[in-house]
Amino acid sequence: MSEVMQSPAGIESRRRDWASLMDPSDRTLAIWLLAPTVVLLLLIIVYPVGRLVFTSFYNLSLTSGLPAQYVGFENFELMLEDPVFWDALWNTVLITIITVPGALLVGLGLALLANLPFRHRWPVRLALLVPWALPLAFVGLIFAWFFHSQYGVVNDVLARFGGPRIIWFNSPQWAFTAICLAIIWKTSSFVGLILLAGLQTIPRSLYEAADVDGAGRLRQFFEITLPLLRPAIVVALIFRTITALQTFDIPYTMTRGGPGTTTATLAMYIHQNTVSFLDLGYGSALAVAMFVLSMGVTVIYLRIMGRGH
Amino acid sequence: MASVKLEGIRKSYGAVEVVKGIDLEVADKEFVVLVGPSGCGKSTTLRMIAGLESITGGTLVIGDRKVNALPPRERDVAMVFQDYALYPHKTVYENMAFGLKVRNHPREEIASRVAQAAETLGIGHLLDRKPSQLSGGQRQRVAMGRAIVRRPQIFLFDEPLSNLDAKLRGQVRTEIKKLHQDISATIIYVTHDQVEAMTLADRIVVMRDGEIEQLGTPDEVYNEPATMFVANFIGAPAMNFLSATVSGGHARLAEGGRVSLGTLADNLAEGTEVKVGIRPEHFLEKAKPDCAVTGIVQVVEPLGADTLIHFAVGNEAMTARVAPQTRPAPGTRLTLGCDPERIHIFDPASERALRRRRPENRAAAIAVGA
Amino acid sequence: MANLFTGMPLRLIAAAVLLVNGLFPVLWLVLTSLKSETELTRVPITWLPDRATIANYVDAFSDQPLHIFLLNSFAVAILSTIATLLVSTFAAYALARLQLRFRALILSVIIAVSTFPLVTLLVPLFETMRALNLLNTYTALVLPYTVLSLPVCTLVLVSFFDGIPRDLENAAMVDGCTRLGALFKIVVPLAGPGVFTAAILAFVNAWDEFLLALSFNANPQIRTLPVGITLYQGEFAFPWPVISAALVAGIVPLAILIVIFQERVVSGLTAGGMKG
Repeated sequence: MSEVMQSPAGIESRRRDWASLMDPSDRTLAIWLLAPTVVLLLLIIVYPVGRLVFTSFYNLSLTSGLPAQYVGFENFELMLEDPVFWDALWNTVLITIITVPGALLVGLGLALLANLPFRHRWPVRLALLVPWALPLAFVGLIFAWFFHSQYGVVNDVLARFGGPRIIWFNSPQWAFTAICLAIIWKTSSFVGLILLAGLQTIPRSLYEAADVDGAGRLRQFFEITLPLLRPAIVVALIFRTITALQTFDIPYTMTRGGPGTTTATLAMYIHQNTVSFLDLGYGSALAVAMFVLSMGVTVIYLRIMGRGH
Repeated sequence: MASVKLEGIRKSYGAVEVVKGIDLEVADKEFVVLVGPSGCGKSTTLRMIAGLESITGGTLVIGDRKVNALPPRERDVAMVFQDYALYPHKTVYENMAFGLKVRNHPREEIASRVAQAAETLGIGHLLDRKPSQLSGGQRQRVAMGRAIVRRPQIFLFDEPLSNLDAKLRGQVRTEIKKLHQDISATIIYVTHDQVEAMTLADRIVVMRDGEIEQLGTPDEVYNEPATMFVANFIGAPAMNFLSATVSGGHARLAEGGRVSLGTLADNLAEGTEVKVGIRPEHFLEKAKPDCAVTGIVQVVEPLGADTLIHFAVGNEAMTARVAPQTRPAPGTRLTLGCDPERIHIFDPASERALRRRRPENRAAAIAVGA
Repeated sequence: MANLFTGMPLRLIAAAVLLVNGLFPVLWLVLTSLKSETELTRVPITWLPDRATIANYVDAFSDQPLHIFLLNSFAVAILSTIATLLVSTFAAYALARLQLRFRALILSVIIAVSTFPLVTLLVPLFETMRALNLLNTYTALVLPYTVLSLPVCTLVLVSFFDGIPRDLENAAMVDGCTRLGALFKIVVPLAGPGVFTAAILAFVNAWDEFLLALSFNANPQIRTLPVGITLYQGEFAFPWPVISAALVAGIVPLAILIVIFQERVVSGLTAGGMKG
């Protein structure tokens, strides 16, 4: 008999559990409020990703007029033997390796400068916001004009200092350089804004305590500023890397991938196959490769961050 | 010799002068407290001593060196900040060791000094923790430990107790006093709390609007305040001020009470307006022939150990601290006595004290210009 | 930092570096747009225009349907901003106010979504839009753009709602409101600043998006601004005089937004960034 009856304490704690889930009307409300988000995510992300993987196993070329045929891993085999794919992949990786640390360093410099006690904050803030607000496509066009071999300002400045006149977009290396510089210029401002916010959370009294303790400026930077900036740096790194892997806008508007395919990125190759060649099967396979690459990088970052804690 | 001398120290921010000429000599091993309301310039003065603010005018001497132009690290001072300023990403040990590490002390020496300081402060078991894992009182001790470990000439404390709750404040305050006794160092301490000033200081510097109102021992500042400001600031509840007129050797109060002035009335003309100052704790329950104050009771606050009576004399609000059983009803008339020896007289215009003459202070009283 | 280094000279240099770095490219663009074609093709190049002219701007609007591009960009950006705001405000309110056990989990999912490579969606979305005959419509872009800004806006709004004291709604409920009533009567009026910040971020994200706009809406009449300018056809590969004027015209709305709303934008960016 007594086993069937609940102890008063047991009933009490169960009631408490339900209460912590909030009262029933709130629960319904929560579901309704979150529903649109969930629906959107399912529609625009989950379903397409599923479809993507599905299509990658098919030969679906819209120009051929034929219906989709199941071909297993054939698209992937083709991909691995495709020299353009490897070029594009290599370019993408190279851009990531160059512009992520590049933007981080420049951004850190900008943030440190911006953190000085200015009498008016708004000009400095504006200087960081303008590059952020510009569309990448605009930046690509602006810098293409900057680096114009005859009428560009870069060559003009170089000439004034006695440097060579570089035909930027005729050579793969110089074109690549120009692209990286444009990317770093644009993204370092965003990084700068994030790091600036981080810098401003460090109380001035920490630096004063270090002054009294006897640490010099450089020491303060390495022992106080950098360690306390670590969370902001990690955030900036993650977002920068993810977007770097997807670089499309700037190379597209600056060089369309040329000369040849020497400045084409993986995203550009996916675009070309999908929209120009209308080869959706192959495009899907490429996109899957991009997906795996991005997810892989994210996981690595999470691992590294996890170890830090 | 860990002495500090400030001569004519001034500080301006642009056209605004916040410290207007401070002259102060702190002797070796002395505990000096700068006290005053917000904005009086006490923290700024302390920070000038530390080297965190530049000195606009005057000379600062630490020991036997003029240090005006020296950066903090070369002045051999240690500071305890109001918000503790502990490095959040370093452990307690690393926080305390930082100053020594920067000066390249050998590792064993650092370890032993940190251990010793931690022992003194009772935080030896916390050395591996980070500041975020400590309570407010513990963080305060780590901040002090960081200063002790450096064995500096001068210790500077910038309102170290203001972020602690009331109970903890009393506890840590006592520990700071004990610390001073143990390590007998020169300490300059800033606070807005007059209780801290009275209990900790060898000498108190009462500051107001960038200047020194009075400089003296706790006894001097309490018993012989030089101005109404000091009299009001030191002691709680604050001193009561009554308007009065000099008449035949007494101060006649507005409501008809009177206080005998004795020899103080000698230099005062009949009819001079003065302000009479009486501390709440110096009222007596029975009126005396040479000292009586009458008023209407407003609020009675029983504290247990004694009772506070808030009463009005005319339209001046007074507070008296009396024996716990005395509980007059609000609205009734109340007459209290006082000890004429404990009365203070101030000139209403200049707010300066016309000091009570004690035989041995005769010369000093003349010099003050009573 | 001690006073030794924050003298005027350092701040002046720092300000100069920051301003030149941030503003020079745009400044150069504006200067370019004011120079005539003949001046631009002169070597060595001039920096300040010899004789400023607005011919390029006239051409930009007459040669190409720049006003149509602008219109399309505005339409898509505004529509997707409204959609994003609605969805993210609801979600953010739920997360901030209703003590969900899974709040941390949901926030992590949202942050994970923001690290998702949207490029990979190009193929399946292209396929779908094509099948549904939605290519070259506003819908084709508005839907993906809504998701594009969803994470940032949600994080901004969550952090904003967290800042509104719960007791305000509690007081309203004690006074007789339902929770939904409290939402509309108390929180929504106070939510102005946060919603505004999220709106600006969503708008800028939509305005700047290029890849999907290029892929889905290639029809000249429906192109958005970045696509329109990039695909300008001219005698030469890049008709720079006209392009520079068009670019300046395209930057103006953005510039107005960020000049007026700098503080909001910065706080929104860092709220979104720091939560990550």
